[in-house]
Amino acid sequence: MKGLLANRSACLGGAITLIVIIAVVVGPWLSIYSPADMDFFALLSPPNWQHPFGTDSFGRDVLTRVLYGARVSILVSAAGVFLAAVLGTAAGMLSAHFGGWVETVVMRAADLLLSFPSFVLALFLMVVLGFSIASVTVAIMLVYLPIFARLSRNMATLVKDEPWVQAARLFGQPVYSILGREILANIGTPILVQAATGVAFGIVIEAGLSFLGLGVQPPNPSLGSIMADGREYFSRAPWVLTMTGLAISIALLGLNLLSDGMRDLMDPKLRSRI
Amino acid sequence: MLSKFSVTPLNVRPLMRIENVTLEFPARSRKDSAVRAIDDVSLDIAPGEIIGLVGESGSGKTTLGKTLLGMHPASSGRIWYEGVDLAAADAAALRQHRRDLQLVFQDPLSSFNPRFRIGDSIALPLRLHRICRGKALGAEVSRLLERVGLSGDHARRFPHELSGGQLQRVAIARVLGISPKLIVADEAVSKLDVSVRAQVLNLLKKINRDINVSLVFITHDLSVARFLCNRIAVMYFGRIVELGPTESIFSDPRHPYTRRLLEARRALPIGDMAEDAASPASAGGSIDRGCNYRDRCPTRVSRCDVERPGLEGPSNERRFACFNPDGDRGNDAPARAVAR
Amino acid sequence: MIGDSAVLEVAELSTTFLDRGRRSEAVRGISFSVKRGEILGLIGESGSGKTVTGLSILRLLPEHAEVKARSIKFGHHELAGMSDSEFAALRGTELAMIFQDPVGSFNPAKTIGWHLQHAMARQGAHNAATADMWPADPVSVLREMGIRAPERILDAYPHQLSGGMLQRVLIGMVLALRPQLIVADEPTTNLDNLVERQILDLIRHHQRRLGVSVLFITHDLTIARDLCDRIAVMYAGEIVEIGPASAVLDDPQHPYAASLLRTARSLEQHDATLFELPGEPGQDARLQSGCRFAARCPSVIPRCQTQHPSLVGVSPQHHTRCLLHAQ
Repeated sequence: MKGLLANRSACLGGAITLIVIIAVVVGPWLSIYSPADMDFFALLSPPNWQHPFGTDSFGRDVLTRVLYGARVSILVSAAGVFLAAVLGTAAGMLSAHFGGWVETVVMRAADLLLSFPSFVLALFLMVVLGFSIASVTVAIMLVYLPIFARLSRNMATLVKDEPWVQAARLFGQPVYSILGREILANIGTPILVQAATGVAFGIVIEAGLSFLGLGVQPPNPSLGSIMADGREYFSRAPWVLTMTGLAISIALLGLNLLSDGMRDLMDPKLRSRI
Repeated sequence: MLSKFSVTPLNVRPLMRIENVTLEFPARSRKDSAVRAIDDVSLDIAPGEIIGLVGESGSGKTTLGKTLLGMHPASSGRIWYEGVDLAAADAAALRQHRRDLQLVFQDPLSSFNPRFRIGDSIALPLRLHRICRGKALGAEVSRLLERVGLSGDHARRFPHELSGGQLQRVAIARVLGISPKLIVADEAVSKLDVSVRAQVLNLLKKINRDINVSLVFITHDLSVARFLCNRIAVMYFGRIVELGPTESIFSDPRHPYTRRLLEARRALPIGDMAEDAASPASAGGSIDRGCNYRDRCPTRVSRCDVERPGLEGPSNERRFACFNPDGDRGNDAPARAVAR
Repeated sequence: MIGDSAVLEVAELSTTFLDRGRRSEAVRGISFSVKRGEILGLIGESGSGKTVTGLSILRLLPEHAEVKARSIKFGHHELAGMSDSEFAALRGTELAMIFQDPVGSFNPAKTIGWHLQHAMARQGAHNAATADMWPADPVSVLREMGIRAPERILDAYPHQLSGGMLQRVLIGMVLALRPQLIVADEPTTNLDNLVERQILDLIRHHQRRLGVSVLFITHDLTIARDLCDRIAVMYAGEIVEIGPASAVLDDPQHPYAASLLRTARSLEQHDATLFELPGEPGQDARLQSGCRFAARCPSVIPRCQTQHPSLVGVSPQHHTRCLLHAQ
């Protein structure tokens, strides 16, 4: 923890992410508008004191919609990545432990999923699963599952032959306990780093899917659908698209800086042991 | 405590009996041959004795030590312990004896989970074997640390905060917690500073005296083996080539390889600087016919090319595997061993 | 033949590491010299600073290490303050090195033959007297190193050879460069005893023949006694005893050197209990104002806690850093 605060990337990234999360959690609650409120007297009005992000073609406050939409995007992305992390890490560790055909099956399955570009895979899954928030979550989960499986299997393979794991086996520690306590404790950090990057990109996937009309359905706000709207009126009201895009960028920046900072911490910790 | 001069009384039941154990690593490709890391080794380990496994790298000493703990499955042979053949036992049966058979690793730092505190690492086996719980655990950890010459405060530190010597003592403390009957020490002092080595060696000797635990001490350093061990088994190319009480091995080595090892402890110049024709580390695998040592042996005779010498000697406890140890082309075969 | 002139003269070398705001002094103002044709042994345990000394002279330490010296004279070059590019021309040719793990000195993608030819093309200044004593072709070089099938080795790649064999090849390469000084840092520690003895014999044999000077860094007293002409014992970054090998190792004056010897003897004489020195080599030495060995010293007196001893002469060639000899 202490090291985390010393690293500038981690600090800055963490601060931005924290602000974004607070905004997304508290904001919609504080906002005087609801995302569906239409004000026909203020259609497509530029940013002003009443509407910091302006309004869209239905007179809805863009800031409020962005906050609600961001909430959805972040939740969906985080849920998908979380599921991918849990299931993928378990699959990876088990294949490292058992080796043999278990490892072959899991890794080849992972290769199969990874051979699709992530967005194409997500699109395909949406077609198969139908368009809804749940299926976006599943899509994000499937995109990241192989990444966590591979990562955890590689790290667990490195760690499992270490003398201290052999010692644990000699003491009679049961396998699941070795995997859960000993090994997981040592591979946790890279997994967290991957998760942070994953949530960032997951937001992009969700936004992309919704932009195409495949994800969250209107009138529910979603970053992607707001941008789709904004694109139509871009020449008349550029703020809708721009402000939404900026919001996404800031969230991504925060998450990526945070994960960079965490990753930097892993190397020097090993280096300074000399 | 057993001395280095006398042999184990024949009527004491061995703690562990290793019978014709062989361990073969399969050939990696069609042109390599299978490597026999351990080749037909038989050995008895008495309760409370310290036996040294001495040899160079590739001799199989470390593999043998790990095999008798069940860490490697033997390709053939039996390892009898408390009426069970460990080589044939399944995982469940092995687990029952886990407490009794333990290992101290060569590199103390990598034998501890770097993320856990020393106290937690020591407590783990105590908890697994339900020796104590809760508050009693902390007290027991402190007691174990003090027993190896450290303070209870060390329990809070992380492995990388301690030195090699301290960590090795913690490793011994961790193993002591579950009162094993046999400890394999795999080059346990090789990586330690000279001044710290003495501390750990003295500690091992003391522990053997206090709780009568058998020690299988794997080392390439003959001087250390001489200090610590009652008996020494010299290994070459996966086989035991000489076996006997420590002092007998040092004062009267019979096998040419043992003699060469002892010679290497002399001061320079040793006069023979050229590369050896065949050494365990570089050669491909065990030769099937004849004696493994013949290419380096100064007393080689034609019999060595076709027959493999068995481990035989004047008594069951003093044996060596050589047809011609004294260099005479003699027809006297060494006296046959008393059948076990 | 050991000459009177020095091939290396180090004056007040200090090396400090800066790690996240903390300074730790690995080497504290040491001075020593290596005469032409001699083997000087630098003995110590972990934390003594012996390896850092070698690396400091060779400029092989990472960025966060601060190396300072009043002077480091190498032949007629002044190394302290020399530019990195000028130094790079000296290192590897006239100032050579052998490390504990030979693998790192080889390019894994090139054969041994390539390495040898490369090395021989980079020869440093010839020592006229030995110009004919060292063979000029790779096969003969390997044969001089006791390798039985040199042609086969020349075609091999580094990963195909054992540690001992690689070390032989490396020493051959280094000698083929005809350097003035070789810095050898624990070159035989990783090797089995038999191979180790052979390689030490090899080093000794060729060193005597060619008159190369060697700074031999090791923790092993037995090796040092056999190989070295003079010995410097280091503890906690300082030289605590320096003198002829026989004097230092048969009759050490500093309590630390004496205790190392006692432990070694204790092992040889198979005492029932080995002589032990309490504590650890790196223990808290920096917290004291007096002698850095005081916390573990069996002969400590009250003055040792406050007064830092300097090197005093026990005899013209033999010095020790101990207050007990300061009178």
